Amino acid sequence: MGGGQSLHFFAGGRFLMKQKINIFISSAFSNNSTFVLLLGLCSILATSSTLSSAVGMGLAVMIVLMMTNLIISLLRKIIPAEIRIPVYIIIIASTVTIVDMLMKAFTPELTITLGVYLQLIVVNCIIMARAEVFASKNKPLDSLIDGFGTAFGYLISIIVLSLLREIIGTGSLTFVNPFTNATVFSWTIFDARYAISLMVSNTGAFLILGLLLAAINALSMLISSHKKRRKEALIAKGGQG
Amino acid sequence: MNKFVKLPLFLATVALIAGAALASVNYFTLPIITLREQMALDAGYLELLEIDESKYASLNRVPESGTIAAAAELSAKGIIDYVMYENKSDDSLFGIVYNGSVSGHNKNPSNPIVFQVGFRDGVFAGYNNVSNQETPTYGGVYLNDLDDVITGLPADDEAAFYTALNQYKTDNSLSVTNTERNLVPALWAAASHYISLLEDAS
Repeated sequence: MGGGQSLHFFAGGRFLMKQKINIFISSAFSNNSTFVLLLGLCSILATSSTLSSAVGMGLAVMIVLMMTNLIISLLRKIIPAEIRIPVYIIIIASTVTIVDMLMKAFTPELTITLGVYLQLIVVNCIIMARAEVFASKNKPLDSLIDGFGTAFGYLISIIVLSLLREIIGTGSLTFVNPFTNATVFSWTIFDARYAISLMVSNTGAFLILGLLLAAINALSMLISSHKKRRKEALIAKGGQG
Repeated sequence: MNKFVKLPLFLATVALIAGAALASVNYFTLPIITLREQMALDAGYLELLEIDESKYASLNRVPESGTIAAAAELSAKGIIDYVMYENKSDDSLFGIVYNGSVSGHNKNPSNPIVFQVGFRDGVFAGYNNVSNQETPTYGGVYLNDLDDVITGLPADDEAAFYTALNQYKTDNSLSVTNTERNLVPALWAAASHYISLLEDAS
């Protein structure tokens, strides 16, 4: 390979890498399913009362989303457009059932904790949205990265929510290993007498999510107005020059 | 090929492949799930009746292995079988644990509420959740704390049993009718059977 060719190859590799990173950042942060698109909130609100259940739910969604995105992307050229939705549903439902069976076998305590919400991943609109919007139109690797990114965003969101709910609601933070059911850590942050137990309930989930959304919106507005002012200042400076 | 033939054929093929994948995963996971449930049941017998190593030597499990199948009137309420422990010294009844399975909020027969309820010294010795897929923040809350509510209640006082359960629901603002619908009668059926065994023995 000549010098020019290797440089070209290197530049192409860097471009591809940047493209994959962009897919990940877009699906995990810029288009975060919870805080930006407000999708799949039912399971987020229901299973974020403790850090342990939140991590379990986040990982289950991650496995399902990556598998369904990959399968749908691999089959995208042979799935007839007229029946694509029933086919997606069969793929998603089968994947969720497989994950459910595996979790019942290897993490039975977590299955009880997540309850019906584990099976309800089938109707989680994030999964169907990524299948229809991304996986059905893109290559398998890109779809896998998109699935990982979207699920990573979901995992971060549910962890943030559960941290706030568990700490404010109980005054402590506990994490239980879903495989062995052994306590990994249990920290007392403040005296339980000062905890607001409402935050662990469903009402608390709505309150915390609402406050988080308000804070994120305020922050993004602040950043965009700061960018706008900088741009205006640059234009004004250019005009003077 | 005609579209009306091709599309259903494609859908059927996808369903068939998905079914095969599910069947193979089920083939590998079912023995593990069954084993884990059996282990949870065995641990439950000892935990509910508070049988530690020191007590274990002085007790007989009747029958020595396995469980006693529940009679028709008990199985109609959801009690599958039970295990009795007798004192070796005088063959008197030490305690009894009933295994039950009832449908809860999730009416899917593959996801019942599987539970154990124990009795000792004429009172409820406790309730153990073996498996269920109730809504965690709703019916699940009811099941999680049920053990604390019924432990110590006299097994021959129906009024006290229902009063305690109603008070528990009121205190926690719970209206979990679908979760409790079949479970509570099953618990009471087990209590009645236990009392009849005690009466027969005396």
